[in-house]
Amino acid sequence: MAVRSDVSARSSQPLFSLDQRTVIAWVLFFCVAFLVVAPLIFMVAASFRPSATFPLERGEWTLANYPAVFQTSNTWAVIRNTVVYSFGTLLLAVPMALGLAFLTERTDVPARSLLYSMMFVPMVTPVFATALGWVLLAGPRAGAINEYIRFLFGIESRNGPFNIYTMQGMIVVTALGIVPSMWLLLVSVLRNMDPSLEEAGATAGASRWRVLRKVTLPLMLPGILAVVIYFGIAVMESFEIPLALGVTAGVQVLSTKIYFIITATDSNAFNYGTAATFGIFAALLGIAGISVYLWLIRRANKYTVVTGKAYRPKLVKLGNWRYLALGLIMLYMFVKVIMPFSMILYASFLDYYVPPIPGRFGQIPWTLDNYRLLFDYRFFGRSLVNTAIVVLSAASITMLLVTAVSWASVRIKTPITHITNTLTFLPLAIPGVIVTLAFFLMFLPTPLYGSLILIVIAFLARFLAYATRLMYSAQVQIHKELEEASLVSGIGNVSTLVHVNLRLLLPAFLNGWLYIVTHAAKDFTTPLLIATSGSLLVANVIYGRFEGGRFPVASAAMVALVLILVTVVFIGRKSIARSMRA
Amino acid sequence: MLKVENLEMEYSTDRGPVRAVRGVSFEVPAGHFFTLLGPSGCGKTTTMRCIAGLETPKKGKITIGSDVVYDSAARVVVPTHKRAVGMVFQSYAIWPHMSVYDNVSFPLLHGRNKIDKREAKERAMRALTLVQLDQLAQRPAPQLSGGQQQRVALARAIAYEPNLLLLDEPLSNLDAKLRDEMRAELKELVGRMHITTLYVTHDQVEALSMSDSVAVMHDGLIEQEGPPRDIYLRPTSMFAANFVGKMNILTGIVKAHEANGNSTVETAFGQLAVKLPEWASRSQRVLVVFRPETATLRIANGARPLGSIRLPLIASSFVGDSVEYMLDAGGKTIRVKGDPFTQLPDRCEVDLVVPPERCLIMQADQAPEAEASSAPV
Repeated sequence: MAVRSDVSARSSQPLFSLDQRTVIAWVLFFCVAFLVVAPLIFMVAASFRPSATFPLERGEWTLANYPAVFQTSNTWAVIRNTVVYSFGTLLLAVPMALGLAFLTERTDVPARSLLYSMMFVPMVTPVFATALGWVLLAGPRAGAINEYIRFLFGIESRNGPFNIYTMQGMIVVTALGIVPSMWLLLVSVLRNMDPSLEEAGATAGASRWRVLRKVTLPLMLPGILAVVIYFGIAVMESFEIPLALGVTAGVQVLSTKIYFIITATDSNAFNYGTAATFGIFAALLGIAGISVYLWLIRRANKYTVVTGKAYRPKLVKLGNWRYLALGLIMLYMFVKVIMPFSMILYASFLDYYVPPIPGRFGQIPWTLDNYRLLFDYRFFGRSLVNTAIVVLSAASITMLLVTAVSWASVRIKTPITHITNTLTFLPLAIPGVIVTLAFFLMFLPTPLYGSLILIVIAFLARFLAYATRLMYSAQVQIHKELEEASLVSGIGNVSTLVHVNLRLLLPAFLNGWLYIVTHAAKDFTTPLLIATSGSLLVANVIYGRFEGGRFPVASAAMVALVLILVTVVFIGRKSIARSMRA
Repeated sequence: MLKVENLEMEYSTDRGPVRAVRGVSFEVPAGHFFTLLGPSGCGKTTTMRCIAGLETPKKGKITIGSDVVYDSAARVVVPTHKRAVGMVFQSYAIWPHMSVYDNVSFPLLHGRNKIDKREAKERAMRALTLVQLDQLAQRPAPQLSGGQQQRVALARAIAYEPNLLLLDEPLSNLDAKLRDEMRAELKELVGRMHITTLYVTHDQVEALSMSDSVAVMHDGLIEQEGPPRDIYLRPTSMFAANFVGKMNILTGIVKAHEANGNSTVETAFGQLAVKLPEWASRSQRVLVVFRPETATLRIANGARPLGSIRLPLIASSFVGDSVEYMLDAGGKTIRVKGDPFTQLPDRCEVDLVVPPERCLIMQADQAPEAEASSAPV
């Protein structure tokens, strides 16, 4: 068959007139620029302003913030902590995730399909929940594990032996938390490899180990490295665990440092300049990291031989070792999900926290008050409604926007749509804390500050990159002629978009929507940074109780949040599957 | 019915603008089957897409029926969905989220002239019956074979009774055998409906066997336009001659030019008896062009017969319905089709004769580009 290259090179498009398309392209450009570029401009501006000045108001400008950042007492400690924390987490998480991915994807470990669906549970639960659970498990004094060990070995001390409020504790909890997402990406790296390449090695007489070392590993290395770097950035920018554990531990990292600068209440002279300057350094680090990531992805894609042929990798037969493998996976699930959640569940039924150890069972102050409190609208209901409003609007608006952006960049190929599409990548490089900080600086002097709208906008910016990737790849797969066939048969522009294009994008749209709903609802970073008393989300309520040491109430709220999230994801996935069949 | 005047179209690419269509004019009378034939990148699909309104031309005028749908001078651009055309795409563009029936009825219910459900059903089923898919109406569209999808696309395009049917290489994605079947079926169907049809293809067999009229396009221009017979037997340009079927070319000098037909051209391999056109004069360099199936070969035996040339036979291949012989004409290969029941031995000298009226004489300056073009895929 002749392949006509002349068709793909077309720039002129039928849907909407030329003028309408130009307008669409520019509107989308301004939307994306507002979300991505404007906050950065405010942040850069803020970094050149002295204390007690808003980023763009009239007044003096200064360079003082830059040297000041390095003269404050703990800057170098913060940088060292951030580095140790990031590398430590990767060192622990990568082998776990890689092992899990290999076991579930390339071996005949029992109950594989069950494992796949089980891995989504830790993925939709808040990182903060794991932190809360582990505080209850390994808090130095009343942590259940510590109490048990002291009880079993008759240790007199009232502390230890474990202390979750340390750098090590932060690393362990963060590593446990990122493993599921890391596993998911690594599975796709492993899956994209054509097994015939390995088979070719085997036929050439190489042993299985040799094939693994000389063929499999080199082919997958760029993909794996890209995943590692991606999560390196994610950990570097992570905020929730450093806040939950690092504050008590006295371990400050970049993200918490910024948080404490902007929430500092001790002086009336706020100084956003220093925060912004820290933010710029973090953003530069992120951009550097993401550049390496993109470079690696390009290399990885060069290696992936996409034949379009459905292939199933050959499974490694583990023999009796498969039960050990299953045991290891179960151990992970136990440590990551079952242990912390049973503790949260347990604590949620207590009046005040008492560790569940023999000898004290009689003293456990069981109560349902925490759950009754959840029905108090002013305490929990309002924040739940706020959270629902924020995540539903953030998910819907983001998906509508990125659907339009993807459509434009696939179908209206002008420099403007190209720039718009590239801009959506930027939030990937800029830590969530920094994006949120930038919006905080941008909206501080406006009435929007302290409203739910600001939180929605911040979430929009944070999920823009992920959602655009998703919708772009879905849009690329929709043949242009499907739209053209509709137009030719007399169906108008809008009808065509709705009935053909959007209808075909629906599964991807719903998937992205569900992803944003769950990830925004379980996020603590953005609400903790910019929510105010008028716009509290569930995250603020939980963190507030946690910070005040009221673990039972925090636990009950967490249980409610997790249950709602799991239910939403469960129903959501079911209905997406149904919409795909229809 | 369809009138295209001085159509010009440009694309902007990374390497600057590309002039895809450089001034194309043609007219298709009502009920006619008109084909744009040419290689990839010749502008044929672009011309069709301009007619459908899927591309906006740079210049020119397009009239469908009595409606001017595009006129650069009067600044008229009628959007695609308001032009009464039906189109079958190369990819068929069957909407994968709909059943066969929904694919056909969707334009009736949501298109230009919305009609009520009952009438839409009647018309959709009529169109599906016409393409013999009425039994599969409720089947999800992705579950159809290529040939069936092609017929759904056709049913969809004719269900709302457009004034003009546009077919963009509709057979190119089918396998060879199915393509032959569908070609006959398509021609029969379109003929029965008396619908004005514009067909785009790079396949000369499709073009010649289906059309009332063929326009050979090359480099954004129409090289030759006419009935299939003329296009094949009397090509006016080297490109048309070469693109539509295989051609042999020999260079020679006019030896004799006589009104009674006893004209000859002297080639490096002997004198060929030909019929010369008016413009040819004695001693002029000309090209003698003939199709492989017009020449006959005979094993050389003694003196060369008058009006024939003698060449060595270098190879032959038996292809079933004929034998293809390759002769060496001083480095250039001359192809001749022979009777499959008599095989000439390899590596012998043969005498080649072409009936004078079946030789074409062309001016020698057309030669170089003729070499480059290849047979259609």
